[in-house]
Amino acid sequence: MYANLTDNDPNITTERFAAILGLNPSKGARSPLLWNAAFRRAGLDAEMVPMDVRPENLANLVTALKADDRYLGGAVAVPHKQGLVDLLDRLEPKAQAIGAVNAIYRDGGQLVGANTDGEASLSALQKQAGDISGRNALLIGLGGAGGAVATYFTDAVGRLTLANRTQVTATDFAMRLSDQIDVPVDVIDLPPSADLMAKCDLLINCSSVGHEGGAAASASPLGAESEALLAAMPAGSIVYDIIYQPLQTPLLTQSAARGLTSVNGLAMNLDQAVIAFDKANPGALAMAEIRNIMTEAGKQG
Amino acid sequence: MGVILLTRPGEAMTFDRWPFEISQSREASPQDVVGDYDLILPIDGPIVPPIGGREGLRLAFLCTGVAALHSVLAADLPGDILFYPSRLALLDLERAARRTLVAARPLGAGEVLAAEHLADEDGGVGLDVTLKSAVMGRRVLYDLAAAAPIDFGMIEEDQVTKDEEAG
Repeated sequence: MYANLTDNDPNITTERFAAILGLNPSKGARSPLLWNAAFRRAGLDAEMVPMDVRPENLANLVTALKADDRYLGGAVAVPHKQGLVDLLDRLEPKAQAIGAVNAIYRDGGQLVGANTDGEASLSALQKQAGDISGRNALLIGLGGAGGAVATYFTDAVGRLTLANRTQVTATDFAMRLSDQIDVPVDVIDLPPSADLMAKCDLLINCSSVGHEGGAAASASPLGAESEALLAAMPAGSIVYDIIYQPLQTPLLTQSAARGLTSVNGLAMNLDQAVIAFDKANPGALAMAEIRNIMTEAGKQG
Repeated sequence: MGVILLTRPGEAMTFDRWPFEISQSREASPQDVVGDYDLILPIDGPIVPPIGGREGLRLAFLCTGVAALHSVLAADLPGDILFYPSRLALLDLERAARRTLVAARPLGAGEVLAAEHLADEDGGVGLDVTLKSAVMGRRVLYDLAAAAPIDFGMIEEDQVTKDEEAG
């Protein structure tokens, strides 16, 4: 049924199924590991399958999934987080405001888009690094999850500065954020200056620079002068890289060497999966139980 | 003829709000009732009604999903319907039996929720109607259309204080 819409064979054998939609989630996405552990514990005959889909096939795939009552919903990976916005029946207001979707669930005959990246990124960092209110944050990268993270962090920090490879994207986003809230949002060019880094005590990387298998896997989002810029950050600063493949990106290796609190994206990935599973399978398990099951499953993966 | 609900051991069920009538409930698996019929046909897939059969033949049609049960009921098949709901089917029925909160009218971001702003619907994906008092007095975070489901992601965490309301 999905053979001509996906580049892999999803092989659905269960009563219902969830799916992670991405360019190649069949090559190591973590969500199926987490979701399937929760399905098993809940005693549900359901499975999350990876669906490798190209942007040109996304609309037809969504139409097929909508018509398939077995489809419960699931997760969305890059590059489809923005592309799905116009293809679903409805968006949660949060996803609408962010302009991106990373989770889908079914409401009767409708498919609803949600965004759990932002909530998960904030809660995961607060759990690991404590209170971040009052911090002067620099966020790099507004594609994929970056917009969601920025939306949540704007309220949580003292000041937020955005930087993106394409600066106009950051400027547009900053204007939209400023319309919604009263916290100052600035935009800078990349790489940031040493002066700016000397005032920045929270660096958040939401770009794909440093991601395993990517074109810039061995690079830092701060560029060639990364070590010097990290050295300029005040003692006690936090460096948060939402990438979890690898767990230690070049940026985090450098920030740890500098003695800064260094946090990867593993806990964020877990939290977004917990929230998304609960949305797609309401009543199946208590949130705390989903978290425990997924935490254990994540350790084995 | 009617829908016979088969339940697993110790599986207590309340089915008065289910969208179809249960004529009988038995703690039994499909294997346990084999002796009651000449033939039990699993029928969760597409339905092809039998052309006919010998008079007195005792037939039962077994389904485990809610959509399949509705199809079987609509097809008016000549025999008992055995409904042995899967865990997913039970979740579907539990969700359909809930009443959940929705916006009674379009709401603007910043409005403080009061009773007249809230309506409820059968099923749905919003908060259970028993949480109505917990959401009242909180500000809406986004512009919401009429009938939009209300959940904790759409409202502020804290209730508005009297001072805030006055100021």
